[in-house]
Amino acid sequence: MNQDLRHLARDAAPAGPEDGFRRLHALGLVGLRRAACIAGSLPATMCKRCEAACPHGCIALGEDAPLLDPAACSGCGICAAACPTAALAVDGVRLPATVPAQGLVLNCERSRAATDAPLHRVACLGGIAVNDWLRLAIAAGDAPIRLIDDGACAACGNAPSHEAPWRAPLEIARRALSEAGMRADHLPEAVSPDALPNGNCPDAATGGLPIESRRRFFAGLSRSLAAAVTRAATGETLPADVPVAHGRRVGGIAALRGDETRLLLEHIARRFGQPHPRSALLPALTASAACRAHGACSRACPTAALHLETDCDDGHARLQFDAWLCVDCGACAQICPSHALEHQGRAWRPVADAPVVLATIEQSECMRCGALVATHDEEALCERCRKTENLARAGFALFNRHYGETPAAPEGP
Amino acid sequence: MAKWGMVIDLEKCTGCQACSTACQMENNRLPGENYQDVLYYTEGRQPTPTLKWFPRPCMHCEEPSCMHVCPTKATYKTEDGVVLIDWDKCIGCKYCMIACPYGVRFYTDEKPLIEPNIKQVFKGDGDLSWNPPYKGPQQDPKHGVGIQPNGVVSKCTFCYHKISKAPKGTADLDESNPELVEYVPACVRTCAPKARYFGDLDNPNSQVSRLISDKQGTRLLDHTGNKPQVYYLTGGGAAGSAVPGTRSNKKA
Repeated sequence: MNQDLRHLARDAAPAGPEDGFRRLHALGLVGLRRAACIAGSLPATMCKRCEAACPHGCIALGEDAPLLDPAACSGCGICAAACPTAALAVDGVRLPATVPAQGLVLNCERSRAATDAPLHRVACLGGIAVNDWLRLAIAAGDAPIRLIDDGACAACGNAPSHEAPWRAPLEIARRALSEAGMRADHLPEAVSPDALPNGNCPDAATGGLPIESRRRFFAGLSRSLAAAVTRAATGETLPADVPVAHGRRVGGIAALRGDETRLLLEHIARRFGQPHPRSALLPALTASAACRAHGACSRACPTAALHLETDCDDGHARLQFDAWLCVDCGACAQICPSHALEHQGRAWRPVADAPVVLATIEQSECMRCGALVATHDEEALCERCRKTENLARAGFALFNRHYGETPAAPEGP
Repeated sequence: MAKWGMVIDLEKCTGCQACSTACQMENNRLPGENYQDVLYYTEGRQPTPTLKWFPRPCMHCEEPSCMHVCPTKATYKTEDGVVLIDWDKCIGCKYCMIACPYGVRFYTDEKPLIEPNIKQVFKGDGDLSWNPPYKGPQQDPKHGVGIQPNGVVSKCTFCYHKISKAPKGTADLDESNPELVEYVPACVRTCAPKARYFGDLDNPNSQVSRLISDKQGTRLLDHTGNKPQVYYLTGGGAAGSAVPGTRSNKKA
């Protein structure tokens, strides 16, 4: 792993009790790092990725954080894979940091498919996020990363839409890796059990549907019970009064998944002689000429993807946008007082070398207080001074007119 | 519940700025950032200009535009009609400052009015923007009371730490009543010419309600639909001159 990635891994590690993962629910399998969750800092534009992703409908967004129904949760980790800021984590989906020379085969805990190749089982293959695939691809080098597709996933309870939940993240990762220069035959792939060394799947006869054996059922039950007992004994629960310092959180959400994706892809691209991937799945933002450099968007941006630089040498203000950091929440477009921003969702877009300058705004000094303001067509007054002046004018006009007086005309001595 | 409101009698106001100073001391504010100030306005030219003025506190609007634009719902209206900021929720985007038509909101990064920068001289502990050498009210970030933390917007709270302790059903918070004097907002209590009145606008028998109806209290920038809960009295009818500046003219 290169320096950047180790640095990122250290930043992502819980720094203290309030930064670390806490259970969403004492009996649940999902952990939340509140400091990284957007829903807490910007309820107005609430990110609902986890709620939308959960196949069992067991996550609902409360006032300032997701809430979990532990009885319905299967611990699949699909919510954690969908979270744009890596604020969620699930025990069952832990991937190895190193990959053996023969490569790695990933499979679901419930599948009975077996092979002689090194096998790693996770609670659900849908819980493997795009970044996990990228990290595995880096760790594997030239060794193959494969996922066993025994045909059962589409019929699983974790796939209400009858689409295997691992397919979308895997496809995104494959495309991103090929844009970074990886050869098609090296990409992580889904394979049937027969394609693996000594691979077989006893469930193939039953149409791929895994039969839950009684032993497996009770083993799974006792495992989650044991985990719950351990958690209760160690007091690892989510207290009702977890301190949430909203104000200090915005613009500083750590361990950003987008930034991590960029570092991972650049690392891979460098291996194939490219400075960065040719294109990536990124959101886009455009600013119209109506922008007045208020800076509300950049201060509201939960991930500092938007940055307003006001003290440029040439007296201009520049609004910069880093698409990698953007989590697609749309807060900026919603908050802009002059409705100058337009936000477009994720699509495969060419990667820019540097953050994009969305707008360059001419600035001048306020006549009264000297503060820098966007140059308007009218007089050069800052928002506050103009407001004060208008208020004074309106106030005195009102107080005079109210009693039928006109403003006193200048009198002679 | 009461709906707290203020009446400012411009006939009595002398523009002495005692209210601004009292506010500054009460709420740990710095020069140029006190929650309320007095606006001055010169009319006419030399040699006979007239100076006019009126105080500008937060209007604690019935329909606060600042509250409606807040993306985190940090600005809220209490049951007793006061507009407050929850500093724990505020993200400092300053949208409310743009939305407020009265310009009565403050952010921590504003240019210091005097040198040296007092925020540098008395550096704040932790998140707080500064460390005042005197003792202010108990820190209460949920109601935006106390020393302003960095990165948030602040505003007049009608001295919420005082008025919220007033007995229920109080019609008037009058500094001449020894039982209530501790609950009176600092600017009202300090006003030397007694130009300010504070009380329950919902109570038709309160002094503020009677003054507004008897003396035709007016609200600033009423066309914005914000419906301020701060009313101004301008002298009324026959007495003519509404604005303090013209009062001196009449006498002469």
